[in-house]
Amino acid sequence: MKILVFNCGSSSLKYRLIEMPSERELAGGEAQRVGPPTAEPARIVHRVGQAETVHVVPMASHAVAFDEVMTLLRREERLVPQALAHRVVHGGARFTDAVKVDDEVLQQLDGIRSLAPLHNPPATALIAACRQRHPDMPEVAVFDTAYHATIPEFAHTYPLPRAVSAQLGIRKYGFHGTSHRYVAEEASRYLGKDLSELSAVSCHLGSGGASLCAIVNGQSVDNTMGFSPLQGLVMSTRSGDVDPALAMNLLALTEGDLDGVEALLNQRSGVLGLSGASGDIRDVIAASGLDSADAVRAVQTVGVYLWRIRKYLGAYLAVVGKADAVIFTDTIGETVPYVRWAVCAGLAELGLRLDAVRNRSTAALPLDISTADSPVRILVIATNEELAIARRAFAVLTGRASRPRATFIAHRRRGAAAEIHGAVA
Amino acid sequence: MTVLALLPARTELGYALFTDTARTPAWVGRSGDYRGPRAARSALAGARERLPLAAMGSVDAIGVRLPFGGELFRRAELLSADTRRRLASLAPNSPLAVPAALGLLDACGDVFPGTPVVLAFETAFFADLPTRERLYAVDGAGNGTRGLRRYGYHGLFHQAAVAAAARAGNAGRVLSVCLEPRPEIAAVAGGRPVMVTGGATPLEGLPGQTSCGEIDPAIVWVLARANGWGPEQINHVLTRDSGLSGLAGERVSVLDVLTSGRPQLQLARDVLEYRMLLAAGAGVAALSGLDHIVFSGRFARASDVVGPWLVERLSACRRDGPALTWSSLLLSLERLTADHTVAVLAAGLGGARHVDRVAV
Repeated sequence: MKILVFNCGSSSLKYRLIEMPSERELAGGEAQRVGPPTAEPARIVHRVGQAETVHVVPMASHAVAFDEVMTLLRREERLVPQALAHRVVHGGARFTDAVKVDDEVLQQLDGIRSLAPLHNPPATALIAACRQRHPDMPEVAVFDTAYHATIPEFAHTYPLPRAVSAQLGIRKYGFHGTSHRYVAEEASRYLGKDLSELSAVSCHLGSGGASLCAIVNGQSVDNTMGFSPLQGLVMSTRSGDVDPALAMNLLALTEGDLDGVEALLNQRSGVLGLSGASGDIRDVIAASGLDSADAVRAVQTVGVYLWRIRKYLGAYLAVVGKADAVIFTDTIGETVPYVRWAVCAGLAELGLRLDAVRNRSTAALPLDISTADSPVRILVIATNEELAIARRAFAVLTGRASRPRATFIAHRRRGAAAEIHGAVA
Repeated sequence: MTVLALLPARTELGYALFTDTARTPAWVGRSGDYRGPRAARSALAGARERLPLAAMGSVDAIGVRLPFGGELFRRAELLSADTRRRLASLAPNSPLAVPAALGLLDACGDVFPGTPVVLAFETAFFADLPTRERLYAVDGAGNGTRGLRRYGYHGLFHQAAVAAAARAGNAGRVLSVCLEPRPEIAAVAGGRPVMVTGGATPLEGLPGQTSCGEIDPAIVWVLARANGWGPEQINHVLTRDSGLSGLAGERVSVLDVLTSGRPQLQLARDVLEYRMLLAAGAGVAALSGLDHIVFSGRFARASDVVGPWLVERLSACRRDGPALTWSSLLLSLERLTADHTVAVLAAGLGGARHVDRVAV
């Protein structure tokens, strides 16, 4: 089955055509500058195998972008998709798994638009447009939050008055679920264990968003993000955890500028806010090694960033109990050995023994960077959002779990997928 | 030495009179109607009238427990003009507590003229928290975020508990669990804290009896948008209607929740225990391991239940290191305040006067 995976950005549409169950990527690309005309023309960067072509074509909406992508794919018989899979960031409490889209599902999707006001509406609109144009093509919605539906009540409940939480659907949802589930699957295969027997802490450290996930028996039992992607770790421009009194004080100071306060903590905080220079921790790590006045602030920033990950790692190892593995994934997790080393250093009592030499290896992923005698394996596994979505969609459409290939694909650093994580969550 | 310990709260003034090093005070009381500067003097004068001073003689020293000392106060201090000036300079950071404290200190001078006053700050123990722990990931020069940093708010309990554990042979890496209406966990290495769940204000961290503890900050503007609430209303809900009582649907104490076993309180108990486990695990990572757990606070006796449970949960993830032990400090905050008072005055006198602590 050929599944065309879509990932909607606010002005972009990323896509990948994947054959299942073989998991072969047949084509892929990105429609850019979708929407109202900008300084440069809209275009599609299209890849088939190694060949990449650029197609300049006006795309006033994601629906039009979809049409253009389908036109490109239809040039070859073998590239015609048989099913569509859509990434939807927020499934609310309603969608606890990927789901085949029908009229009722579409209506429910409409009802939860406001849970992720920047991301859910474009994805929902695209699903509706696809349905209209190809009513016979099966479509599946795959949610970032769904993997976390198994977080227990005592972990997803905030200590608020029950009536208030119920009224507003306030609970911890968690994000990056598709990625955490994917690397858990890959880790279980790497370790020769059944997913249902895997206990792990997954560290999805992106260049934009980041979260940790506590996994027991292959299921998510906690995630550092919460009701929104703001909670938890120090991220590129998000503060992560702060004293709630700060948010209230900022509201009072700005005389109730809700949007402004939200923007401050989401877009001008995190690594950017701390460093005053860059939202990319790699830049700040580099600056911290320099002999300059700015280095002090950079050192402080890196310190806060790493410390928050370390504390959550300890917290989730305590929750999980006997972890089989700690998994590092996504841009920073996969490509910055220093972060892995710093986070794991000195945690031998918790069973983590990092092999410094292996940690710096440039061999293809997946990698085990722990010492042979480390009670907890430390793995570096490339996440693959589109493949993860294709797997979920395939499982929903065929009613069976997909059986990924026995041999590993060497997943090198995925430029396009990295941007997906950075831009959305 | 007869020491009068004063514990000002929002609307009342608690006091306790200690005539020696005994654990329990000779006299305790509470003065209501404590709000406002003149109220402090009348509350204190009223307290003085009720104290059995005819029988016990005069008050030799006063110890005042204050919640916030910022970065200016790293230990308990004798009140002087300079101390008062430095405390006053903290008013912008603590616009309610500091003026109230100044009012009380001035009242001490009126009602107990000539009696030395020692200030014991809850934040002092945490004044030197490492940067990576005390900073938030916000622009430290921004409007509303300038100078923002984390403090702990039960420093007196944590410091005393860790010191007591050290005297009993449990120095090293200690997790200090303070069971108060707003519980707080600190990770302490060699007597110095490296992590604490309390934040810039006591609201952050573990859920309290009526306070929400750590939440997704986005919830604040969700509440504002959905219900049209302003900061005061949101603050009221998050500090007075939330926490364990919000979850239980009735007013409960930390002790009820941890020990009563009532089904109505099950979710509150599970949530509190879970948050404590998370904080404990974070503490183990912060300390690169763990040697000992110590409990303190007015609900410290819940350690009978929480101690073994926490040790058991942490055993699963600890693959190495010594067997975890735990202990409890059952001294009251009044007694700890009096201890600081005696210690500061003894140091001032330059004498090698030992303060015999009651065995823990």
